[in-house]
Amino acid sequence: MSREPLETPDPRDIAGYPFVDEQILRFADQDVMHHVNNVVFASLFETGRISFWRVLGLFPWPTDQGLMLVRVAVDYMRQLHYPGTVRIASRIRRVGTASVSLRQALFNETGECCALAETVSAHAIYAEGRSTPIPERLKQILESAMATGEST
Amino acid sequence: MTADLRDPALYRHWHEDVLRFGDMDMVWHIDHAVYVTLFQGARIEFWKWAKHDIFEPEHGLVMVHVSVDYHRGIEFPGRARIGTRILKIGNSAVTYGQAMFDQEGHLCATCEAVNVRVALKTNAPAPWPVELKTRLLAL
Repeated sequence: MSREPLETPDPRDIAGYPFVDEQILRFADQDVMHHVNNVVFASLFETGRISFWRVLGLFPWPTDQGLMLVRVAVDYMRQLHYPGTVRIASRIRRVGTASVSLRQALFNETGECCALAETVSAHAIYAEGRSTPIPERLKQILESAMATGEST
Repeated sequence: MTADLRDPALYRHWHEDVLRFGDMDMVWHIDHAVYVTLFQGARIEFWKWAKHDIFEPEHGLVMVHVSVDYHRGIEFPGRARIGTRILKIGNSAVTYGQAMFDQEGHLCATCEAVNVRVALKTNAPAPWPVELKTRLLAL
């Protein structure tokens, strides 16, 4: 049986990411189990992603076209507790014709990896209502950001 | 006392929060309900600063009132700074005054909130112990 090769660098290692965003946990992020609720992780990954787009100069994006989320997968590895700060690390995994895949990881205050996320965003011209090839300039930005990630 | 909640000099306790992308509504404003959540977080931090355990085993604080006056939109990306103080303590109630500023120091919103201290078993109002009340009022 063939097996998917292990991802390198180790996605649980914060050193393997070119970009890290810091967020503060909120009291309201907790559920009745006193955990930071699972859906909050998705929100934190989202805002980490936007910060990543922002440092790449891609946010705020044009009003007629941009990257739209088409897939999110989160693996929960460790409970997360309020209060505290978290770090959300992001890197580009793959730039395709019309989509870009991100690898993200969330670390608690002591540096433990609490969750991993994989997201895919498709480029779309909104009026056309479907995905469209990533424009050349945007593709260059994404590819050079991916290269930065590989060199760290 | 009618305190001017807009005056930063009113507050000795400050809490800072980072705005999230998901806090925005469809017109790119931080949604009004998020302000309520941010003020809540600041009150929790206030109690830690005041060294009073609001999660003591037998008593808790329940919300009975919150009102927010919106002065100016706070913008993403950015940070919110929230000042919190106690305005008055009644028999079993506590009234807070709060104000939110953006990272440039503009006043964005003020908030008045009231909690009642209750016995968790019965949900009946539980008067503040006198020493605690005195200590809190001196903060």
